[in-house]
Amino acid sequence: MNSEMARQFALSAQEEAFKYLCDQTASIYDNDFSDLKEIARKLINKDSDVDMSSIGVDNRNSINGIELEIPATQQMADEILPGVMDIKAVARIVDFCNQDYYKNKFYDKEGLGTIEIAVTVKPKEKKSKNNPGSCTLIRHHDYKVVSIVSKKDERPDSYCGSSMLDYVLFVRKGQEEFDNAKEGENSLSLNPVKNNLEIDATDALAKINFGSSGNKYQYLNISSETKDLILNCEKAVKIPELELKGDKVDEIYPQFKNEMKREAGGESVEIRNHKAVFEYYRVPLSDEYCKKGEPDSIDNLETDRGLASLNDRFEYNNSVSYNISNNQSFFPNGIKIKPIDKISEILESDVRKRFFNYGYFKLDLSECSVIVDGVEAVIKRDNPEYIEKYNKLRFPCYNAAHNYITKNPNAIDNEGYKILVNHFTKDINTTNLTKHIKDIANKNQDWSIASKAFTCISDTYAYCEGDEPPFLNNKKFYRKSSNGIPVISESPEDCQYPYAHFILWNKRSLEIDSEINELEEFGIYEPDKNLLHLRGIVQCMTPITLGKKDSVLEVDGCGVLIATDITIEGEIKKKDSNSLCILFARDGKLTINTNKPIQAALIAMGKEYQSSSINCKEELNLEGAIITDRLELSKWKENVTHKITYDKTFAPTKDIYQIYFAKWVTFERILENE
Amino acid sequence: MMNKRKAFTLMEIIIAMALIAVVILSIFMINKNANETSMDAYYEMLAFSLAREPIEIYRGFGYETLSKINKDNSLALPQYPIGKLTPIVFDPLQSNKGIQYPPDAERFQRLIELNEDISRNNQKYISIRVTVMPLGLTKADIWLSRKSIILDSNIMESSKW
Repeated sequence: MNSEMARQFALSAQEEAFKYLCDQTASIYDNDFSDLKEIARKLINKDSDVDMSSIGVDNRNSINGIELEIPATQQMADEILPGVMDIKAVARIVDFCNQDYYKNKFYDKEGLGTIEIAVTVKPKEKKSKNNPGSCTLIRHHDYKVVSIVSKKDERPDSYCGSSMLDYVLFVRKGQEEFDNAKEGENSLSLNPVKNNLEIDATDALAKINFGSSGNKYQYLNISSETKDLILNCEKAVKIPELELKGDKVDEIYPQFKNEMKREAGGESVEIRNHKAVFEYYRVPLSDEYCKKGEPDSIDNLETDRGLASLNDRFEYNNSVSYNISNNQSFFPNGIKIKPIDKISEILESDVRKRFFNYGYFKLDLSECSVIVDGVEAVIKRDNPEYIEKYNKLRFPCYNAAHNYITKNPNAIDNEGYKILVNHFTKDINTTNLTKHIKDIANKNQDWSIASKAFTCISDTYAYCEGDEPPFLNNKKFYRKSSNGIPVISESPEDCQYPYAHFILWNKRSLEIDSEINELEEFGIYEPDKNLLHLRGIVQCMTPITLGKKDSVLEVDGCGVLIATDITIEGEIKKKDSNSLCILFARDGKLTINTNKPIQAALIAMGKEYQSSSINCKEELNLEGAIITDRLELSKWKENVTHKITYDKTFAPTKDIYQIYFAKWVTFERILENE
Repeated sequence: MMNKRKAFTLMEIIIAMALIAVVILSIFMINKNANETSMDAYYEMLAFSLAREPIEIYRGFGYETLSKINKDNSLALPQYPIGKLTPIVFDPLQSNKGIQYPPDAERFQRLIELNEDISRNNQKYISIRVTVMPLGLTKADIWLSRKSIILDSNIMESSKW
């Protein structure tokens, strides 16, 4: 029975070696995900001294494998039989597969494998006086390698589960949400009246995609009032002049000369040195500048937040200056994006068209003199009220050819402008431009006026600076065809679930109800200790609630937690810089009931016919990202500023993998020798 | 003519009987040794089985449960008490409530000890030691050459995931 002792050593060593392997690969990175630990590196890269899967059966014994530490068993053996036993544990890859049932390849080093742990217990000397016996115990465990974050440059032409983390905000059905917003509601979902959402994508310049595609357009931060004005438009005619003088002014705005004539009582009138200038504004989304809005001009444009929030004010003429009041808070609500100067790099695809460009035609009478019957009459001296009156006037005009605006700031829609000016002069005191444009359009049954007024060019891209529009690397999205093969699409609506390869999930269909809590049973969630252990991808088929009010839930490890519905009740914090948390409400809702910081990426996505969303019932303070079907911002808590700051850990500049070893033994062989 | 009668002398008979006795004694001795070795092996096997049994049972429980049992011995299974030298009970009528031991098992007693420790790699484990020894002056005590059988094993804390 001497081998019985060796057998017990082998069993202990096997358990210890497996635990060591699990521990060593639980947190496999050092230095903020920069360096892989050795064992993990060998397994993920399938180093030649570890991988038996690619060589023939006859040569497999030439693979040395990774030696696993088993100090506890060694210590036990030394206590019982001092210096007699030699115990060794080695791990080797037996098999590895990196494609699914349909032969679709997983991303780069993702896949399923089988690892062998071989424990050998034998006496150090072959002919020992008291032969203690020997034992070899071999076990196989399945393991999975999954990509939690992937490197953008190395993504192949196939589906990659983690690609959505490139975005700080991704609204898959944003277009549908925008199109179907009901009239009469206080606001549109993407354009809430009472909600602020600040997105800070400064770190790694994460992308934002509101789901627009094809020839459809969205306008963020425009209210339902202006929704009707969103139409396709044709390219505008440009006029070359920046500053208009003399006859040009009279041609565009004859009302001034006519009024002077009326004042002169029929005598001949000559107007000299009167000028007009255009002032240009470019408004993509509401932003910090909205607080610095220029009061007078904004007052004349009661077109809600979108129009009022200035982003990139273009001043082609330094003589035009504004008194900006910091105390003014015009239309403070809406979606604000940082950094403003990189906005064209952040907004992806059609959302770049969400710039609203507009300008003012303004008379400059500072050097103007009026000669009546050969006698010079200085308006300022004789009729100061004219100066007062006309200097106050700003005639809004809209630039349909909003691209090249910075290059050619005079690119104004001449015809549209004239029509607008003609109508404006009839009701110069109007304060509601939106209503005015609507009225004009309705009266003439010609919506092209509105289309010219509001910017929307279908065949070009808007950009901030430069001669040519920046190259837009159209995002490739993947959806599954009926036979399971990913199909490439450029429409965000076709975007397949993140982490859709369920074969790479560690645990599936966990249940939580009044009788059973498998999330706790498997040691994933420990509510008593406020700990969430993440490793790879875990799916729960029932709703889950994470965290508690007034306590901090620490996330240990790196992985994705999937559930039908997820409710967050308290703060979520990463345990260290090598932890990473992704919470994914699949076919359900993600509800946030806390205003405490949350360090996680939040995903809410459903099947094609369903729509998942994220609902913040408290002020959102998120360091991570939001990927959702519908934003439904108007349902979020009102009158607070929700904040999303991109966590650069999710940036697609590096690969972050996670390995998971199944406890279950798929094969076991014991060889004993007395 | 004298009738000469041939026969073994007394001496011859004595020598022959002595030789036969030696041979028979040797055979008996060989038989006795064989019996002793056989019985020793039988009882050793039985003792090892009795020692392995709680190790396997408690290994199946896992570290977490075993750790609780180690802190509160009353949580241990009644058949496998911790820290108490307990006779093995042979009760054929109660066989449906536990493992049916062979009758000879009741000639043994068993001590199960648990000890919690942490390895150099910071891995927690329970070391389990089972000592099986004959119960009093029984056949087992007579036949078993060793005083006791001791079997050690470690049960590692399972991974969190």
